[in-house]
Amino acid sequence: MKRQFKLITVLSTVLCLSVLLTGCWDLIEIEQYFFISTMGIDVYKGEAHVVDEAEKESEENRLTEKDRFIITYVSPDLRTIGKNATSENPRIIMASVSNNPYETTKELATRTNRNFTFRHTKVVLLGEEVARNREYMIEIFDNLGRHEQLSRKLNVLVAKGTAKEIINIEAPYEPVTGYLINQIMSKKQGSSRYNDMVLEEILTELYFSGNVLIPRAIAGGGEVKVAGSGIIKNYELIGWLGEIENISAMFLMDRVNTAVLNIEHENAILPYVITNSRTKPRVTVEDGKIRYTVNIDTDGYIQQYKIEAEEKLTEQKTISHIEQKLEDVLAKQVRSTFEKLQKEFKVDALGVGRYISKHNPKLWEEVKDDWEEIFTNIEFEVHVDAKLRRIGMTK
Amino acid sequence: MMFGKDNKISNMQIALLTVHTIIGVGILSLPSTLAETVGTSGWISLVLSGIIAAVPVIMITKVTEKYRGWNLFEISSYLLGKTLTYITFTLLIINFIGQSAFVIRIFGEVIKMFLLFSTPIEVTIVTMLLTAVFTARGGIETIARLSLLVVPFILIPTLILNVVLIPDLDFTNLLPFFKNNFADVIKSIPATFFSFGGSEFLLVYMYYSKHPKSAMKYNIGAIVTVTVLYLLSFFITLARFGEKGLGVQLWPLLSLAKAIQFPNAFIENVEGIIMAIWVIVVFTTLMSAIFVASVLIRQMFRTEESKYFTLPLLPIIYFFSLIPRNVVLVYSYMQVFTYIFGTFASLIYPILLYILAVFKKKGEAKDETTI
Amino acid sequence: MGILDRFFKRRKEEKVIMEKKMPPSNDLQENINKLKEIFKDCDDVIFRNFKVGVEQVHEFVAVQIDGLANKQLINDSVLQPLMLEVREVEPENVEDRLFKISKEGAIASVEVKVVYNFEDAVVSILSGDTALFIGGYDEILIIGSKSPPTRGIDQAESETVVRGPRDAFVESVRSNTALIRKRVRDPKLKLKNRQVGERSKTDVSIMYIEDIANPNLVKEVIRRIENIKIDAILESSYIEQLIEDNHYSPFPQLENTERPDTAAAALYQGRVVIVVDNTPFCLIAPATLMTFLKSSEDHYQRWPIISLSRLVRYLAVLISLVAPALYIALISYHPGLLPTKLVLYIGASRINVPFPAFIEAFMMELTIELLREAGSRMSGPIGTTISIVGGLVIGQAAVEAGVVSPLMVIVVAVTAIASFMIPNFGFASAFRILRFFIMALASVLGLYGVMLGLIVVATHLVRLTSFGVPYMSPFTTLGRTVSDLKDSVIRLPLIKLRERQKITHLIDEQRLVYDKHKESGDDK
Repeated sequence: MKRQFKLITVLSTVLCLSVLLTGCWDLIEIEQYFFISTMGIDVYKGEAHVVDEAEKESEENRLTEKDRFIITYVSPDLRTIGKNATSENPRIIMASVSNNPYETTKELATRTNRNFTFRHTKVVLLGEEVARNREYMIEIFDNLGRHEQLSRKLNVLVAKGTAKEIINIEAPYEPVTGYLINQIMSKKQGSSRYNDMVLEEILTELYFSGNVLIPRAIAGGGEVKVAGSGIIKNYELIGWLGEIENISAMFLMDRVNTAVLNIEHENAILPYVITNSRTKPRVTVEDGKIRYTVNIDTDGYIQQYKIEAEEKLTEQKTISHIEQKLEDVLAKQVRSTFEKLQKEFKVDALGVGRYISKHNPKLWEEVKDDWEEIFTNIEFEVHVDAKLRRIGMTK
Repeated sequence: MMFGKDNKISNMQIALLTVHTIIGVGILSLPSTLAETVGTSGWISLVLSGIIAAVPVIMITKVTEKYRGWNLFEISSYLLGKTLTYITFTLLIINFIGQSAFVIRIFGEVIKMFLLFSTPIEVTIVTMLLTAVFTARGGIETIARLSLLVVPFILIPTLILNVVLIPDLDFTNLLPFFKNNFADVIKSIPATFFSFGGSEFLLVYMYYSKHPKSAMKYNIGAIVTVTVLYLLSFFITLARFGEKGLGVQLWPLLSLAKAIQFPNAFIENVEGIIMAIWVIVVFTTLMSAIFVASVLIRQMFRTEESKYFTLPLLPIIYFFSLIPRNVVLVYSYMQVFTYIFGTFASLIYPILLYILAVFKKKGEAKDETTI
Repeated sequence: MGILDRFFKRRKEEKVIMEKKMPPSNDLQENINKLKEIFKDCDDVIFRNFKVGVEQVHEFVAVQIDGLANKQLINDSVLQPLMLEVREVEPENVEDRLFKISKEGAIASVEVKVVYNFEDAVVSILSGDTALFIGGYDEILIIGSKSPPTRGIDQAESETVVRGPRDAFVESVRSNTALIRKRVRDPKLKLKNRQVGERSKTDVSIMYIEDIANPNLVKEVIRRIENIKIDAILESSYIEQLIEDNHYSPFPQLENTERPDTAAAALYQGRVVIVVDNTPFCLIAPATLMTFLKSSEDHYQRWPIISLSRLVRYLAVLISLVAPALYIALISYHPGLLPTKLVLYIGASRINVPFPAFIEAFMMELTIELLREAGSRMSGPIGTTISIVGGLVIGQAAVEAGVVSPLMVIVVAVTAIASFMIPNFGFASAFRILRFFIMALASVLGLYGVMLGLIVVATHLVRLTSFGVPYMSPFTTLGRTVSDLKDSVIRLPLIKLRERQKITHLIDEQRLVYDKHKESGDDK
């Protein structure tokens, strides 16, 4: 009896397992994929496109309002990689009109012969008009956070103009737009002229206050340029920070990895190359006013001076002189950017509120409801301590 | 000692087994729940829950040590009487089945989302249950040895990944440590406490202990380990996402996995490794639950071997796991379920046994019983 | 119940016919006739009649088998003394005590014993001894003259080392036990003889060191060997398969070795060595996963290189088990888990490959298995040539033809090499089989299938025992056996390995006594 029971158990298990043979439900070979590297979202302006008679739906039957976006995908063409390249085109651009990326995927499935995967998506480009619309932005960013395939380290950029413009450019450095932008933003020792925030950091700021600085991409002259930031207030784009202003913004957010400051000394323009920088913020309350103090500490060296200079670089006097000038220049730049954000755009996109909520929670409890107002009136102070450590190879 | 199964395992293995059992799917959603309800002082809630969870553990250890050699059925019959014992056992078994169903449903949903998009969730559930049943049939020695064997495979990748994470963590997100919301903390304790569910398994494990007398420190160590692990996962996810960001995530640890990138190195997506570890973690929880349920059934029916009862549990757990229609309902059903059955199994039953054991002055320990 | 009945009909146990023990009679001719009848049609049995004594009245018959018995010995020690020298002795009342004299005084041979029935005499003759029948006596003298054909002590073919002794066991059980005795000059090294196999009556020697090995273990080993009822033991693996704990597992539960130093080391660890006649492979019980992944050279080289080597071996086990399955899972199911650059490269290289990944993998694995079998059938240069030709040429051609992607060939080749890293062939073979199982799971359920497969294998390993010792110790218990870890995945310097491996619950645990003061040389 025991043996029969055992046999029945074994047989039924085997039968159950053989069900597995009926399906390899998820088996999609690797070469069947389009690895979408870039997603671009632009507003659809109702340009004419051919619609089949069968496709024309009556107004009552429409499930949603009419399509809002043109969504563009870029994928590298696998046939150009490797030794036996059969195609010359390094990338494939696909686009469709729809309400969200999922619909796009399904629509493109009628025209493309491969499956889409977003696991290797590096860049999401938002067209300027999309960014200026709050309704669109809250949907898009929810998708970016919720989607399980999207990496949280992907780069989200706002395009000056439309995303399609940028995507259409085939830069000489790297034909696939997504990889190009991603590599620009993630290379070491780049520059502080661009904002290197990734999706995760952007989401953290957005979840907290709805305000953030988003990196910006510009198309021009056959090249794609990543520089400056878009100012997002309450989930919509309200303005831009230029390249140089971006440097100050990076200082304020303590995100500087390297930058160059030019100062004038003895009629020469000296580049001060910053190798390390640390920004320490502090919040104090004086006379009922909040004072936001920023202490910037930079290390750097001088790359270029001039031959036949009066003041030699080997003298401490000169060094201190130069350091003094640096500090002034930097402080001025940082202050002007901060005030631009504070007075002109009236938005706390630098995370000041978040800082207060962490380090001074009691204060935050008092001010959080009116923070938008209060922020425009807080006192701002910046102290720079620029250290000139090295002077290069010559005296 | 060597030949023939003597069915006893060491205290260290019991403690380890308990840790594996408790850490199941709770660790996924716990940090997020805490951030939502309590914020950055969630760690207080964790520590308090850990202390509260230690109480029934101490009681269980004391009771089983006093009646060592008696299996749970005998202890319970002696203290509560036969009828009550049957009723409590049924409740316990329902509790274990419910926990297994919950765990495996969440597991299936996660696998469906990350690994196997189109595969029917039934297939995932059945295959996992079959594997867990296969292991549970082996008896206590198998599951104890397995729980020790998998420790390096879980620990080493986790440590490496955590170390890689550290540069990206913003420890200022942990501030403020003490938000002034003690009321919220207290309110969140019941929910947190149920992530410590699993200590009632000790009721069954202690029977197999070689040295019940010295078990106390190991068992408390187990609860401490679980608390520490939960704290670590809370702090790390909090440091990474910030309080608000954390509250938004459904499964913060998995979102974390998507954010790890080895700097400039070959490996980009460590999701795969995390998923592999995750399968093992859930598996250890399931095998324990099935084993313990089968032991209790066997004790109720007074038969020889408990392994025959493992396979029939499979369809029951499968059926229960598919009842909720979607992920949201799973969590809300589970809340209700643990309020009723979980409280009973984790708190009421052990405390009851302890009180009765204290009052019954008689109570000699038998050394070897075979029932 | 009808269908199932057929599965359960018990096979009739083959009855082994026990022969009644037949004693010889006093009449020489009757004995000889009886013997000739037993050995009918065995033309290599020699009957030597000779007469002893001055008057040549006492009839003796010596029976031996040509080829197995040492004729020179019989000439010198038996025939010579009895035939020639006895003549020079006064035949006073020699008759009554003829047997006694012959047995005790006349035969100049080391081994002499008496048997009282034909069966034992027959067994002895078949082993190479000479049976001496004396007219008028119903006892048979057996003179030890075993000299079976055997090859000389040669190099071990299957387990070679860079540093270490090169002698290996041969097919004679006595030579083998002698090789072991050389290394353990301790009277506590005990040796128990048994004969296993109804018709083969193979000599089996069970060796153990009495005050190190656990007596329960020894008793159990002997008990299991004595309980074997089979007609023939041709190789030690018959015994291995008949006394192991779990017959259905693909994993071997006893170790086997060709090297006497490995056997001696095992004895020192408190394990039991079973030497079997007619095979150079002797068995070692008990065996665990850890012992299979050790080679004897591990203690002859220094610890850093050995630790690295061990780590690589454990890694090799894992690779040989899951590498192709992981390939299938990652390529077909989860390309998102690979780094972007790799994904693009693999995708590009697979564009024109006609087969899906799992078919590719199965095909290549099957090809490797074919090559392996072919290579092992042919020995010497032909074998190696086949392997090289097969490996390189076929692999290269397949890739060039575009039938297989190059990465697949690499994966399969690495897997094959990894499985060669495992010192014990039987153990490695288990993984070959399991590899297919996990590949099948990966084909259906991707990475999840791989993990499930690994868990199932781990469960099986954890339940396995070898003579009661858990197969996975010391990895599965902490406590007493934790010190075993010093010599498992890594190896600590010899100075630190003071205790023997505790897995078998030994009696004598201390092995190395290290006196710190002595080393610093304070003699001056």
